Amino acid sequence: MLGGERSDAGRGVKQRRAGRSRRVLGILEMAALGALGFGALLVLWQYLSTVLPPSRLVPPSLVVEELQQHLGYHPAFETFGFGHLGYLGLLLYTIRNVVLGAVVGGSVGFFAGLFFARAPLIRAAVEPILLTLGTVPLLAVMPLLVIWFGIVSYTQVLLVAVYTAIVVTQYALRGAENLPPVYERRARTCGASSWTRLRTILLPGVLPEALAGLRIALAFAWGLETYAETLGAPGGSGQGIVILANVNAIEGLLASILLIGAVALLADAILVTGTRVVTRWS
Amino acid sequence: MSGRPASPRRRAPLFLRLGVIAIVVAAWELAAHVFTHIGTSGDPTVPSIEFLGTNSIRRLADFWNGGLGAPSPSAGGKETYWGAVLAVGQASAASLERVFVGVTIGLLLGIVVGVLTSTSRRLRAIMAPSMHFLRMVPFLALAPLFEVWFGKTDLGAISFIAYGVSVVTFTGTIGAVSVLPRVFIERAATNGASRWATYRHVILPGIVPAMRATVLTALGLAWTLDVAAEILGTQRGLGVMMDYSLRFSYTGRVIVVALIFLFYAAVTYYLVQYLTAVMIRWQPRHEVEVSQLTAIGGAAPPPTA
Amino acid sequence: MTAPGPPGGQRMDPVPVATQLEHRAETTASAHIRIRDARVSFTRADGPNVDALAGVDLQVERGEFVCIIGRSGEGKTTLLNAVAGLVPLSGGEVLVDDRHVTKPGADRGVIFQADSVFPWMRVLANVEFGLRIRGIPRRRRREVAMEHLRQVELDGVAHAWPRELSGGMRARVAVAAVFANDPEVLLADEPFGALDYVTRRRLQAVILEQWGRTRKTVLFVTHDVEEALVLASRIIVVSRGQIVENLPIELGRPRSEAMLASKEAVAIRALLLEHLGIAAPTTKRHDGAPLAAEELS
Repeated sequence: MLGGERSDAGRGVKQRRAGRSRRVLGILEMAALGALGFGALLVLWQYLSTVLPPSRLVPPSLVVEELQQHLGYHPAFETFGFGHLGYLGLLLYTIRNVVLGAVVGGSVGFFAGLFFARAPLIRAAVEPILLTLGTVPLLAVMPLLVIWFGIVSYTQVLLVAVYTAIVVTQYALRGAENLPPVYERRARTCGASSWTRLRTILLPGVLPEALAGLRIALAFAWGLETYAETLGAPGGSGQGIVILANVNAIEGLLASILLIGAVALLADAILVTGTRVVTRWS
Repeated sequence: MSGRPASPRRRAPLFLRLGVIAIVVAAWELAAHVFTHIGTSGDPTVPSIEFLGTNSIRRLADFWNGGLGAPSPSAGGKETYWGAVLAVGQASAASLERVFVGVTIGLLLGIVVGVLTSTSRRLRAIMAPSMHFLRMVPFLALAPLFEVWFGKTDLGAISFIAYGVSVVTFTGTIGAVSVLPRVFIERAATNGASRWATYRHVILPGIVPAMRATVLTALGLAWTLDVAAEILGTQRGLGVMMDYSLRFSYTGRVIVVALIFLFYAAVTYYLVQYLTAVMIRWQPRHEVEVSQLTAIGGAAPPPTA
Repeated sequence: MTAPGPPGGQRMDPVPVATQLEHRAETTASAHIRIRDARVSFTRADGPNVDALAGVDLQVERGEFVCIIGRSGEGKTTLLNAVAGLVPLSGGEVLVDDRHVTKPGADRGVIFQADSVFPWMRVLANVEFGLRIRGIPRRRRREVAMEHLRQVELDGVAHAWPRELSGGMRARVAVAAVFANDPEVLLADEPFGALDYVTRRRLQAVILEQWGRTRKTVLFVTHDVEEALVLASRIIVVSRGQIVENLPIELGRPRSEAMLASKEAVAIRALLLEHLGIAAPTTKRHDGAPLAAEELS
């Protein structure tokens, strides 16, 4: 009996090690397959660039080269009045606007969601308006903003903020509704002040949902910002895209787009990790 | 799930909802009377409702080339309301047709590729990073690219819409298949069903409720992408009116066309929501409410891990 | 409980799955299901390798009603899934009618633990499903399906949606659907586990009646010792991926309450409970003879 137990334990350790290596192999396999799929996409791009004229598509290598060459300075950008900068310079404008808009909109949305959770009547009145808003009117109002306010940066920030606020409100609202009311009641009976209640119960309870909403909003916000810049802005990748399209620099166009995509991916990854860190407290 | 049962959706009394709309309209009118600046085009910067209803709408008749009882302003005829209606109708048909075709192609592509990919863990692993990357490249940022590729043609707009819709639908389909209880697929197998029979009898019908949210999201996105394309300028459709009005800063007309877009987007959305309700009448009684969050987001809901 | 055997009056020919009838006649001597040193192992998410089945040997004769009991997570469902073909073997073999089992098939019908009634099909379509897959023409499969619904007393709701039915009714639909497809082997994975006591007893009667009518070979997993006593002609106990008890039950049918309270039944129950780790060790074997000293441990 004793001997059996000992061999059981020994087997356990060996099995665990074997199991771990098997798991690592599994992850490696999945990663390899993913790389294969992505590689296939690049190969397809390469192939298409050979059958399509260079005014339509250039191979990935040329795009990378373009990015390297003009990251810090692109003559076309200077010609069109943006000063001595390249892709990076324009990108920073875009990033600044999106981050600003998302932070402001996210905060407003968070508190609005909490507010609406407590004021069901107001919420029921306003919600249909918010829902039918959607993204179509935001698009439609963009050119109007240019007519009204001219070529300024705050209209784009406003757009991103409004959109983010609408989305995050919905998610924060859902998070607040799903919070078991007993937590808050307990805190209130313990004599906790409103601020403490907010900090210890509402925040960690609603934050995960709100951050999920922020992630979704952010993904679309990059597009909103870029497109808004396209219509008229004092800077930004969107303006870069317009310039490059005007001079038919397809490699520049593709470079700008990929750059934005990469930034969006990075921002998403950061947000996901940040969310995980934050929610680990709760 | 949640700690308490979902609170019943309280419909605000009608007068309250109308009241909110009235407040918004009143605020607009106030702004129109406060900001009375007239732009270079002759249109006020903030046109009043009266201006929108008279001047702006009537001027849209400019796009009517005569016939069906309305004169052609470009040929010297009068601008009439009827002419405006006809012009808008003709343009709307083109825009609606574009959206319809783009959505259909996008949905088919997304669902077919999504269902086929779902069947194999390896296939999903292959497609995952590429699709994630495509998803993260913002659709709206691609609008100028599609314009360079296709010019301001219908094909360009349709491709643009189809692309966005298919990416979103693909993600939604993967998600929908992953939440389909495995027991259904196992049951089909233990009845000797082939792969195609399983798709036809189990997977496709089974994912309809989950797909409904995706379809509505895709529809919202399709209109967004269409408006984006039309603002940049198209050969046919409401975008012609929009582009022209923007070029000359006819604020009133820009607003009217924008409202028309909004109207169509809302109507088609509710229409699809209503029509697909039939397809899910078999759904068990828990929350059947379609998440409209995703419709607002214009992006697909994050696929279930 | 109704007596087993062919019902009087009109008899419906079960629609036969394409099998070799000649083969059946030849191999009456060989077991219907043969499991030889079956092993199933998989890697858990947190690392360790788990031997769900660690070498199982079992033979099931045609027409037996075998109940498989055991503690949770110790292999009884895995054993069933191996016969169903839903889980691949890491070693050994499973043979049904001398054919290797590698994937699921219509010859081995399964009644699942989870609700498997397709919510997007009406009740009748659910019962017809297997027949439809096999290409049976519409009129014929409707007849067969309706007959089986009649047998489980659900012919009145044939055109209802599954969501309109109670859990117990859906379980009956699942039973009807499996029997309508006339598999050679019936595999059931705790099908009545989620239901209340009364419904469970009624469904046990339904299954016994269907089994008596068709004399299929049944493997029935349950965690409920009482259920096993009511249903089984043989009880298998699975513990830690191996069979530790293989007990023919000679209690006669139909099993009255008196039979289930008999001394023999009590002894069986005690033995099973001991295997499950619930009761104190017995000092008597199931046939009543006292255990020899060496057997007490």
